[in-house]
Amino acid sequence: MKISLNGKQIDAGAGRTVLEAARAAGVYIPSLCDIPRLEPFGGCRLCLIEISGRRGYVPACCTSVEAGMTVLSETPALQKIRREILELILTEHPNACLICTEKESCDEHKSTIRKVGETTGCVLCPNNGRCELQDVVEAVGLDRVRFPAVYRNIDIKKTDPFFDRDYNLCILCGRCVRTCQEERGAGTISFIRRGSEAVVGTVLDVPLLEAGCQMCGACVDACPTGALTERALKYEQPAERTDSIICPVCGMGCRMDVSLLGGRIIGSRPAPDGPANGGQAGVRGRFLLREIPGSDLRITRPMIRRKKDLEEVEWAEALDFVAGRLKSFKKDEIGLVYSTQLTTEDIFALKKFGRDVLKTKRVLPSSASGAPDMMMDLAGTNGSISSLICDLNAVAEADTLVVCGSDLPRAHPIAWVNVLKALKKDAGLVVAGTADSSMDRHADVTLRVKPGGESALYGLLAGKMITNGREKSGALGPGSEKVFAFYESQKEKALLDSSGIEKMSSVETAAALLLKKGKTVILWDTGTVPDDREKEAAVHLWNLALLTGARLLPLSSTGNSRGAAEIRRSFAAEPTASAFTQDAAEGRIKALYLAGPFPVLKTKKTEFTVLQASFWSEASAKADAVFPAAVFAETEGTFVNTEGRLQYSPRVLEPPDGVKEDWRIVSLLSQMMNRGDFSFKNASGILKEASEAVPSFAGATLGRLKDSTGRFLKSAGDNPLKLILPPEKPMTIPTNKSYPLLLECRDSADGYRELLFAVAHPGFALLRDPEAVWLNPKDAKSLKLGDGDPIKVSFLGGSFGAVARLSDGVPVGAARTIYAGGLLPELSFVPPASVFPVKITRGQ
Amino acid sequence: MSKLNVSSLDSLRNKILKKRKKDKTIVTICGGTGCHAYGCMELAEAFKAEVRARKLTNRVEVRTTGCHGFCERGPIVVIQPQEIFYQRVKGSDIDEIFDLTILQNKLVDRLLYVDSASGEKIVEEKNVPFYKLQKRIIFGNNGFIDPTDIEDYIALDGYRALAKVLEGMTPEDVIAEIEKAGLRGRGGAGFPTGEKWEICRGYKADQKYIICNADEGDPGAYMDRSLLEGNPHSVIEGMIIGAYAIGATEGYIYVRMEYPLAVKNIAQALEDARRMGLLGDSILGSKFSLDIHVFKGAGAFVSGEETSLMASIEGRRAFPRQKPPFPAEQGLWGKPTNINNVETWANVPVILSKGAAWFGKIGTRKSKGTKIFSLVGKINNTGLVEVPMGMTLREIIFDIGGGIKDGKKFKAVQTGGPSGGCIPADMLDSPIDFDTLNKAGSMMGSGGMIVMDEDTCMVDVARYFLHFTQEESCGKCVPCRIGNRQLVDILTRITKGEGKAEDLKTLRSLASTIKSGSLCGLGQTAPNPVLTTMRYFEDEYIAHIEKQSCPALVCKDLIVYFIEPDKCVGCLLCIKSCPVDAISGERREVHVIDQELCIKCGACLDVCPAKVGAVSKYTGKKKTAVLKKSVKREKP
Repeated sequence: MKISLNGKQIDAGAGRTVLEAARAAGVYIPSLCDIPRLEPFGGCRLCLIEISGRRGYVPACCTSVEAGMTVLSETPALQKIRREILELILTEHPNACLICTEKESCDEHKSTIRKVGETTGCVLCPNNGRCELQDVVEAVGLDRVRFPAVYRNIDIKKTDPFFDRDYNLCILCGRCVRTCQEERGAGTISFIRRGSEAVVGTVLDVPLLEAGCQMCGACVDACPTGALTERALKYEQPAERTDSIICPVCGMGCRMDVSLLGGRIIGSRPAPDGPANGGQAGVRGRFLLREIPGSDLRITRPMIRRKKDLEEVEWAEALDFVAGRLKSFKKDEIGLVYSTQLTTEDIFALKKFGRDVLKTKRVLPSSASGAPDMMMDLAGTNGSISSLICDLNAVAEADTLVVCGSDLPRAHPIAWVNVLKALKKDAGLVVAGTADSSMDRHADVTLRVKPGGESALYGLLAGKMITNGREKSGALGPGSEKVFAFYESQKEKALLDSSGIEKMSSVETAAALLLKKGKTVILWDTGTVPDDREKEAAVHLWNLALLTGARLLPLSSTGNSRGAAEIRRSFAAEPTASAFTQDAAEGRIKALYLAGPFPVLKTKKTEFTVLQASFWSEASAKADAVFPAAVFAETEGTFVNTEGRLQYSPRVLEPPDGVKEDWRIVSLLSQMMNRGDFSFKNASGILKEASEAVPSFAGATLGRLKDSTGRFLKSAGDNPLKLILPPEKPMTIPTNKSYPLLLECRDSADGYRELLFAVAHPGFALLRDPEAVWLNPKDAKSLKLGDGDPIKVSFLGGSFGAVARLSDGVPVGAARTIYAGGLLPELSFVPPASVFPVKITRGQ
Repeated sequence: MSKLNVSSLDSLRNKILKKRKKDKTIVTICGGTGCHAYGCMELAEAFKAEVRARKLTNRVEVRTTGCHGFCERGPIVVIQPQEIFYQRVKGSDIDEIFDLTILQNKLVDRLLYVDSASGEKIVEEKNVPFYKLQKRIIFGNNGFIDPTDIEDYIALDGYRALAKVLEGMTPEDVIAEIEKAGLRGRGGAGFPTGEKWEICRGYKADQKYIICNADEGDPGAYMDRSLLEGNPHSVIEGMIIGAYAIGATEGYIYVRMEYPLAVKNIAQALEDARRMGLLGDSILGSKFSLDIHVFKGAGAFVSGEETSLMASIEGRRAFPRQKPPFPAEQGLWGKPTNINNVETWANVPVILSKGAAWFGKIGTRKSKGTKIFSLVGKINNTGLVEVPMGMTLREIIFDIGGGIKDGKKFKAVQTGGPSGGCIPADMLDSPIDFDTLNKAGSMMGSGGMIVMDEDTCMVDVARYFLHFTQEESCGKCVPCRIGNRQLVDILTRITKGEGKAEDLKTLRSLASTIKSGSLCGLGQTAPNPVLTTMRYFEDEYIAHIEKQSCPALVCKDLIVYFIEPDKCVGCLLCIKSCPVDAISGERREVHVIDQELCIKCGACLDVCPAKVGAVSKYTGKKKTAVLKKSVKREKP
């Protein structure tokens, strides 16, 4: 489609706005409020244009191109209006520096820096130099403001973590408000008040945290001025360079642009072209990455405990010491724990180290890869997983979405961003879970199950598909008659009761949405320790997906859970977390090699403990040897995100002196112990070996991944999918008088390796308290507990201390906690399952 | 009651009329908001008690009706069927009204209206000049209808137009009739209603909406309020017909929460209509279904703008959005929506029952029908007037409005609310219609008419209106939010005598940027008061700026109060009234104002007896002279 712009014919793709078309054609039309991915706003009025045949002036950002349109953007009348509007904006914004005739020399020589005050100029603005208002003033060539300044004198809002809000610098473009509402579905901020007092704020102007903000920072990234600024960057110099890495924290695989200065990461922003995240991130990637490499808790020297105390030694001595001790243990006597936030190459090397060097089958990931792992377990003979699982893009394109067991905005923020994209196109949303969440107000139906009631619900829904006439086609595989018969014989009422859902009508509404034509995606997450009950849930979801033609997105909790799940399949089966703990407690595991956070560092029966860690934790003081390991930005390697997207992440930082990559440490040990083939020179070599050993990695090389948007893993074979017969008797979790409440543990990757974000940054503790156990106020009342009271949570096999928090969103008889890897001393426990019976009493 | 259909509606009407054909005296008491403020409800209760006390329930009926319009003279009581018009009736008058008028058919002389021009006493409502010159086709039934009684509306041919439409007209017929009538939107812009409906009808959608815009926000305007309060069914009937024409099945009445009586009456009317089968499924037994909801607005002025009104209904902040797409294409919840003002809807049943040809005879060539104005300000007969389009301002202000209060001189009239403009005396003979007002730099708006006399400072007026719009700007677009604030700041400076030579140029330039750069109608019209006052009263601006003088003696910073020594009789009245003890003097001696202490409240001027008239206001050079001579008050 062609349009004429200022007398020139330009190509303007259909469906674009005139502003977008002009930008694409390299014609500058000033604008401050437009962000192409948001709904047009038309507030700043700087992009006004004239269109032949239309009355008056229209904003280019709100006007769609039409074939043959004749547009003028630089007429004298428009320039006059534009200049005057910009002058008006500057009456409310410090402008002394913007229109100063000496500004160029000032940038260089700071000749006039003392001539302006903090509130009138740019020199002390944290956004100086990356301010869109500066750019527009420059482009329009404004050199005076005829109107008197109006300083609004609004208190700077500094009580929230991570960023400050100085609305004296705000130009009310609404980009933050719209981003918060449209892209993140949070709606935490809005315009408040009217007229010249209009400003951006929360309801009743309470702090962001009180207004339910998840601190994703998308508003900060959208702000064109210095009104919203990251506090940590306020007093930093401009970065020396920016590099793109993959965030290792949660399973979304966000590509982040990290700013580097003096060998430090000073900040991280979502890469606008990030293949998985497309310019969005969550709080952990946005504000916490900078806390990781430079943490005070970094371990930088190898240490061994010859006698009483740990002492720093040279690498050679430490390796020799550890190699000697490890050799003394027999087959399967050593337990190995590896972090799933490491690179694929590190994980592969560690797994190989366990098998070939430590010669043990007792190898455990520090965080379960619950949902992806379980679906992969079901696949194989029942069908090829790749035809069932989908990517995030399919989420955005879906017509119906079912979110099972996850508070997406908190735990999987990018998945939520994609759900919102679908909702914008009128997709239906079913939210099934045990507690309330901010997703509920977007949902067509919310299915509130009791902890452990999920499997009953999914079974009920699958059955509804059949009773509602979903065709019993042979395409669902041999043996599907039995599955049909199973579901038809289900007792709906009983299932409803065991699911804990109040009304059958809400299940029916959800079923009706699932039966609607169109693309359906089911997003699913398990609890902290996936148990048999969740396996049963997985079977029902598998069948539900097949019966509705839906795609599944099993969500992985940490940065490389999915990669670990793939690698695991090429090694011996791993024990469960509780079996591992029991083995350690009962002396079948005599030595521990911990390359990942694990709560039980030492039992009475543990003879020797090696820690391969990046950070000091309460636990590391008890180790017999400590190897300092590199963190994500110090290691080259790959990560597999929840979609199965294999992405390359470069080494952008030198590790501190004395720190080595995980794969290198185990390679050195293997050489020292003369066991296994560990002649790896670099990550590239490990990936080469992994790509031969792990079928889904076949053909992957670091070289090829470097300059790509990542590649999707392929599962071997193309078996047709078939229905799976669920277990005859649905599983339930019995409570009893001694343990009357059901505690649900959810993982949300609130740390990196041994570093808890709540410890690394006090602000994060305000947002997500790792010590909190949420209770229904009714239960709290009968336990005589108030909000904030210390409690003791006991279960069969252990206990831990926590803080009681009250929420109506938790069902009566239930309790919830975000499991923080057991890294806080008082929280040091291994949950026996995702949901288990507990007793709560007042603690100290 | 069972649901009505087309034929049973007629028989119901006959039944009602038959029931009422008795020799009953009906005391109608105006229940409009103006009369409410005068205590009409207590008066009505007192009348009812008197009826019971005198055991006249068979002979006398007391009814509270909608607003009669002549708010200046409330509470208004009209005795039917004789149409005896009593004004400013108090509880103490009730006995006499019963003794003389009701029992003996005699007049209570002192309660009759006296024509100020001729001095004659006027008995019948219709002969009061205020009413005589009006053409009350929309508003006229208000005085006969108890708005809470649907039977009253039906008795006066209510819902007959709807029956006619549902019985034998296609939606296209309805639209053609409205187009033929030449009805233009009464909300302000004057867009042809039929055309609007046709555009909306043209869009295919699974759901369409109609909206009645009752977010009346102009200061001094209350005609929509009085219609909703006084004759809600006429609006509902219009909406049902409109919905039928465009194919809408759901409607909203967006009314300000500050109009509790309107909310109550319209909600009751909707309930009654639903109950009788005039709303809901299969209206009057036809295949057409529609329901209408009341939505209470929170009182933001900008919510009257159609796109922000819809945003408000959707539960979002009342932000307007760029048009196109127009509501007819993408309105409420993205569906085709037709939105009309209260008065427009009320015109619809009238046109359909009396015919487009009849309607077309009223008004001018391009502006058909009547328009209701709220006549307020420095005028003798404050109230709501309905006049045919094309009547001159002079007729409205002087013949109907009874001229300027206290025999002062007319200076200007502000039409169209805060977005309108001020029209000067030499344009008094121009006819009132959409296009003439636009040409004069003002607009019809919703019909507010604020009359100003010679004591009004036009710079101050412009500042007042700008201050209003500036405060009511939604804050979304820069020209309106900041530009209007700057306009106010400049005007405020001028009224303080701190104007600069270039201010007029800046005002003009900024006003034009705001008009052409703003997103919605609020911003696009906000500078009108400045532009029109500068156009017609530039000399006043120049006086303020160049001579620091306020010719109308209004702007506090530019005037002084002065006690004329040759007139002052030394009565101490002003000394006692001065709140800041700025006046000194002994009994029978000349009093003197200490100009340094004086806060220019004007209390001394108010209390100085008219026959003495010793307190004067001065501005400009005379002010300077007074200040030079000013003496400090001696402390006693």
